[in-house]
Amino acid sequence: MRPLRATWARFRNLFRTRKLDRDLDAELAAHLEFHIADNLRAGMSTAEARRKALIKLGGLDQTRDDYRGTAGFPFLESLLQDAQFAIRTLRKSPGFTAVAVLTLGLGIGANTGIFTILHQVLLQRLPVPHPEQLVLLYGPGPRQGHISSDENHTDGAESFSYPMYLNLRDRNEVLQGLAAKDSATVNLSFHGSTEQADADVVTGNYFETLGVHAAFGRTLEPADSATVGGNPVVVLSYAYWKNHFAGDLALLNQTLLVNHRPMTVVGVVQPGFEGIQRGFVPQVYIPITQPLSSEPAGFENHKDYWIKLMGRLKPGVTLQRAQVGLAPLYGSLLRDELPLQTGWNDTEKAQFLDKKIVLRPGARGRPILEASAGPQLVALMCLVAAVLVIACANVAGLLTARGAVRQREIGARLSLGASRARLIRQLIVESLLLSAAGTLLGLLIADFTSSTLAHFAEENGIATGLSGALNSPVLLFACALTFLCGILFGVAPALRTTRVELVSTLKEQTGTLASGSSNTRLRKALVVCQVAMALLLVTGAGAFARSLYNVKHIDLGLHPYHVLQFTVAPLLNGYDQTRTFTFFHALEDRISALPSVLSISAAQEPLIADSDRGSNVTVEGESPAEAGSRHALRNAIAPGHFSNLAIPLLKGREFSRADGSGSPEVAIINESFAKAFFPATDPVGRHMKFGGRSGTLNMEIVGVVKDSHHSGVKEQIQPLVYIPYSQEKNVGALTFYVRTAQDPLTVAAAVRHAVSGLDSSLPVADLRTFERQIDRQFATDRLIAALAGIFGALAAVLAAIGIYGLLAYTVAQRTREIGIRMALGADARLIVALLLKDIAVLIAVGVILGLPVSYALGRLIDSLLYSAKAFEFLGIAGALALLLLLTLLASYLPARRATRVDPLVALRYE
Amino acid sequence: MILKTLQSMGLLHGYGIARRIEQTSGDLLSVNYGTLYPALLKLEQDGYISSEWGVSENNRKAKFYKLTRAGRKQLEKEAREWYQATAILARFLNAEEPNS
Repeated sequence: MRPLRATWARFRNLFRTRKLDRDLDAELAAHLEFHIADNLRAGMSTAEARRKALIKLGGLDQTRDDYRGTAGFPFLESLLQDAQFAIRTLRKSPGFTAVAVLTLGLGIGANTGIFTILHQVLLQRLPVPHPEQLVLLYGPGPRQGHISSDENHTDGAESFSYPMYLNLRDRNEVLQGLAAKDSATVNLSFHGSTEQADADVVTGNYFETLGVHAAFGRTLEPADSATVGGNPVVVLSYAYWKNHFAGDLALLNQTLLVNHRPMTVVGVVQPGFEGIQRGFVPQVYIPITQPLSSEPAGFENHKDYWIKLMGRLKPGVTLQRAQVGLAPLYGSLLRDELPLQTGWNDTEKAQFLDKKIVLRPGARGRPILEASAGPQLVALMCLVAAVLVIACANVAGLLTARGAVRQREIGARLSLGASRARLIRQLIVESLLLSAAGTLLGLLIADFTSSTLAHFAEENGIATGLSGALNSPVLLFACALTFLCGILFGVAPALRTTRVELVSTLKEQTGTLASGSSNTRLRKALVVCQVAMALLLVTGAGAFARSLYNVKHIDLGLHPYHVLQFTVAPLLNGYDQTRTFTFFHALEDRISALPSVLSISAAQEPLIADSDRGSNVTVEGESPAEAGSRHALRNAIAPGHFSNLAIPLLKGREFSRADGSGSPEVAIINESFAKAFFPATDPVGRHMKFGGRSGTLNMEIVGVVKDSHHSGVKEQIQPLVYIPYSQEKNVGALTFYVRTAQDPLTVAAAVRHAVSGLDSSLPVADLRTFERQIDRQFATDRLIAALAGIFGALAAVLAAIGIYGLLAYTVAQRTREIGIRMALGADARLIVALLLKDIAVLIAVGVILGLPVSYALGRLIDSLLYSAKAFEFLGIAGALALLLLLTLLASYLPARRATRVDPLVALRYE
Repeated sequence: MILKTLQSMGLLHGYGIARRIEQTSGDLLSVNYGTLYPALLKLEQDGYISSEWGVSENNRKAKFYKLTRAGRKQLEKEAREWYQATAILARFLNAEEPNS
């Protein structure tokens, strides 16, 4: 307590030294006066009284110094002095300061900006109490049935069936709570206007398990999902309530139409909670047992795997113990389900029973964005870190050059008795100050960078809800960077600058040469480092650019230009199948009748949108072993789809309106399907069916089309079966493709009008040009290529500036030597060769050091590249050529100056 | 010593404290008065004494110090410790005499 109080008192005194000094002076004056008065009373003369009093008081300056020492923090005060001095010196050379601050600002800004996003995607934990207790459940291994998955590379292990969930929830002994969720897009109507919203359908214990409360009203409760159909209630996310309903509290207990079903708003979730899936922010939460469409969800079905589970460990139970604890229960549940798996041999059955439940840490929520954007972010972070290293090297180079100029000042101060430690401290304070100024500028750049990235992610459907705001961990990161950079570029020049031979420096003539050489050595090291880093960045930028080029030039097998796309989902508004089809037909007719619309088609699974659907197929003439065991993608389409998108028909015919729900069932297959299933025969006229071998082959193949990309730009084309949508069950939504004569966006309004003319409560979603849709697919590639390009260019320019600086400095230093050489008959070419030899060695060393680093980075980014390798001969050669060219450019001016040296002037130059 | 002086004298200015200490010690202790002021500041920062500007008996503006409650406690504590220490020392010195 006491020390704290004293520290505080001292700290306050830092800011009022002047008043303290005045007070002490007054006090001492009073003291003297009392003493003199006493002495006078004792009979001394005035002069004697004064003298005695002064002697008794002792050295005034010493008293003052002691007093100040006690009053404040002498160390801090001198640090403040250093800072003040540094500010004065920096202001005296505004050019140097501006360049240094700008360079650092760019470096620190880019790093902080990328880190802001990286922190949210890879590091930030869910804003709930004790996130470390949360676990995600996975059930990897073979199983039969329908699996809907949203995580990559898990084979759907994250999806469980509802009955399995109930058993796990009620019979486990290691979890405090086990919640389940699924994501859904819903049509939300309020006061007559309808729009689509992202919903999390969750079990009633979801909020309780997470420890999330309501801002107003209540969250969902276990009772809300106790029975199928249960409580028709809905909870809004705070941001949605704020932005869409203007934060209107009157909304509580009012009714919204969710997919045409009335549901009561019972509450608003606490601000800050944005679901458990970073990058996917739900706007509403609905009990999982609410039927959202006429297609019933699988609440009873053990073979419908669709919900994702998150649990909270009991206090003191570790993840490993919980996993072991769940094993017997999971095993017995699997034994119960075994009879449901049909047609398996003993090995397959054994594999099924041998499956283990796997728990993973859930503190950061579901790792979907982490998996899809994490590696890119880490690669970007590495690139910007390299930029920062180059920036630091540049500033260190500048400081060293400045140090050389300040040699006389430093020498003078050393000879006047300043200690080297104190001078070093002062120089480091100066660099920290530069670094801090750079950070201030950097924060502006960071804010811009992260906001742009967040906006970009939202625009291109990569992630929603990322924030560009710089929060406290990010600021901490920026502070750490500041300090690190200040030390990184400050220490070596400070040590170098203060190592001065006093005599020679003060004598000045020979000084520049003697101390210059050690300065030059440091600057050479810095140039080597810059070249190495620049090589890394330029190689990386080249690789990303080649990858983007490759991606952009993938032949999709269809013609996406002048096509407008949009999605309507009448099923979400409670349409039955007949009404849906009537609606689709009417819409097709209305839109084709629009002027400037050439043709229209539609598909159940939107194209190039990362969405696909598949099932097992059985075809005519298959061997019994293969029958029903092979898998193919499927899509339901409108008549005229292939001609509309210019997908060539190889054989047979397209679908027409005549292929309706009553007429014979037909299918069109793609080339890959034909090759895989009918290697030797003509498929047209053959029969096939979806599903296993039992039952009749109900569909006749009427055509074969050329392969085209279906779900993504980078996908491997797979066997695919098209059927007319009017012969498909449960077509809830179609994505329409409208080919137009001019700019497709000009018909956008007319399209909206056509939809609302048929049903004003149906929202139109994903309205954009088909080209834009395809563009979104390689948005990330574009972004990374652009950023890598910017950083690579920045790195190359900074490295060139470094080389230029070093060479210019060397030429200035060696003017005398050059003059002598020229006077002795050396010609200009020899001089240039002499200078460039040095630089060439530096570049070579930089390249040799840079190659392994580039190789390491290459390994990291290879997985992000499309049919390109980061570390390949052409890329490296290109990067080297670029660096060489820049070096030559950077050397040109100084070299020319060297050849223009007039021997007479040079010899007098000192 | 400063604390004790303030305890016995109440409100006092710097010079007064210095004189008083000198007098109490029977002029055995004689240091530069200047060293007094940093010590006073330290005690004030620790909260053992407080100070305010006032006017002395001969109408001179001066800074007056007085003991705070914490200072009184601290004084008692230090006095106790001192007595204890001297008592222990005394016992040692007394005990050694017969042996030597």
